[in-house]
Amino acid sequence: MDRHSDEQTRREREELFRKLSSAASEGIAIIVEDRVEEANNAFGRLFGRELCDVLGRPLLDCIAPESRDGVARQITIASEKPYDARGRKKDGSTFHIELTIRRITFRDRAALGCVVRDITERKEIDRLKSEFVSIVSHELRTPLTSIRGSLGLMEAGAVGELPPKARDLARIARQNADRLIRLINDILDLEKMEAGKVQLQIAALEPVDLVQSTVAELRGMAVLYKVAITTRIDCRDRIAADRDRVVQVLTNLVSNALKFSPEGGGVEVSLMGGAQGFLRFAVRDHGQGIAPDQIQRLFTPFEQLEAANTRRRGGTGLGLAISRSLVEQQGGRIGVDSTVGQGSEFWFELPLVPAPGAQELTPAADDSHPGVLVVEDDDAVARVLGIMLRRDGHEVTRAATLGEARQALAAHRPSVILLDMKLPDGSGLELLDHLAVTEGLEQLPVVVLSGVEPSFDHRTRSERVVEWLIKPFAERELLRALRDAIGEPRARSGER
Amino acid sequence: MRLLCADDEEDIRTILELALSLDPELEVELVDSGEAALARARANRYDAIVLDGMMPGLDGYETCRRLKADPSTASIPVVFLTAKTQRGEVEQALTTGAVACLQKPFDPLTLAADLRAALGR
Repeated sequence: MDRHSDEQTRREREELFRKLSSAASEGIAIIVEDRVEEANNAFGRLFGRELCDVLGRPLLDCIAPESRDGVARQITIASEKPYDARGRKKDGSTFHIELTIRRITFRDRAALGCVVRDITERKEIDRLKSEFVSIVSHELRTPLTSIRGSLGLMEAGAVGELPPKARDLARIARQNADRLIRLINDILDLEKMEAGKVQLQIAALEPVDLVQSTVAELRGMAVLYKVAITTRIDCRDRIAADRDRVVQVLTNLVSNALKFSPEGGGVEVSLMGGAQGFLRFAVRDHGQGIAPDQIQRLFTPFEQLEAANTRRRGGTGLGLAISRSLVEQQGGRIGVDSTVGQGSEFWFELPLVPAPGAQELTPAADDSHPGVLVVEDDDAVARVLGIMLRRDGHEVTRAATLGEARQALAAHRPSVILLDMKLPDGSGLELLDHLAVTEGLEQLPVVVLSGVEPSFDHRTRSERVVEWLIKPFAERELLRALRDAIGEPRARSGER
Repeated sequence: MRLLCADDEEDIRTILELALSLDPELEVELVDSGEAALARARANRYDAIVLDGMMPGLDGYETCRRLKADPSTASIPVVFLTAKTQRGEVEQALTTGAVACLQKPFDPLTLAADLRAALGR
């Protein structure tokens, strides 16, 4: 094809793009060097502007000031994932938008394709949902406080002794008020988890202390159900987890075990080594056990099994779903081993805090297993990252400085780099520059781990940055970023 | 121990009075608003103040801030008794200078003990 027909084809394609994009209800724009090079009419309409007011102007002019840093970050990473921000109309009013940005080539230049949607309506629905949750939390609790309080005082005889039958009725009403309170708490918890709003406070914890305090709290319940609780400690290593959330999960498992144990039975709570780098909490009961076909359903919301005494003992059917979510968000896993007629052992595993001096720098064995290069100077952060990555099937090499990172890169080419921007011997930017000029490393994807949003300097020098994660980030965010960068880790992909 | 409790719900004040009367060492006075709690706290001596979080007018959180800003009441420990129980809400409540946040609904039989534990008495 000669140059003339190349040009002809390009024009025809641009004309086709114009026709298609003019029919779209979403705003579509092509961004070159942060400015709007081309846009459809819907793009102008969305922002209450004439197209001539948009073309040639910076995209950030259409973004509300509070969203500009975030959108600048999206321009840097061009993740192709929808991103919520606030748009700014010509009259200065702001509104909710969803932006999707991807890298394209436009007239032989590197450019960004940008699709914008008005999501005001969706945000309003989200707001109404949050408001409803707040109403559930506060407005239901207030009358329940009066009901629960009155019944508790009557049942205890605080206002005079009740006849036995009346006392029984007060007890039934009080127990059901308690059940309603648990249900409200569980629904709120689950809603927060599904919305990704649970904030974990990860710290180094003594597991024995967690077991002892949980068991002490549940002694009264054990007496009520006439079940003995014993503990067995085979491992005392500290874990990296959120104290309140671990106690919540353990309380759920132990109280379930008490509920489903026969009178006179026993429940054993134990601590033991789990998978490598993990501690296992296990709760064994001697109840009826669970049939294999029912085990799948156990950790699903409202899937309480219909054993004869289940509902009678006041479960909400949400506890195990909440427990699974809490354990997974802390980088752990949960499960059950059960035999019908013999009882069940529910367990969960959480990451250990590795001992100081533990092997962290794992040289890649050969070029066929390149893995992840973690460039992070903070030992604790590097250890936690190592645990998360290895658990997901990644091989991990760690460098604590820019110098070590360059050395590691000279020895082996990793699949991806996790890069802390602030290193003792310089900025992560220097490593990005090094990659740009090193043969074989130009296309190496980088996931940045940083305490701050990217600056202009970062944005202009980081074409290979596929994700910019702000610390603290959740494990699932990290693993998703890695999957986006390099696909499934070897250990996992082989299992499919 | 002399306690001042503020809650705008009459039913809950009735229950508070009964529940706290189970502990014979507690002497309890009840008011129905943040404004009344401030006025009473400035006029009398209390060992602790229990505030509902959400009250019309001056809510519990603002009442606590004002108690802590006034030298005559700043040293009286404040405990919230609130239906706002999410972790972020509790943390927010504690930034006002309160020593603890007890949850509604509460168990009336253990309320006095829970309050003593929160106050370290």
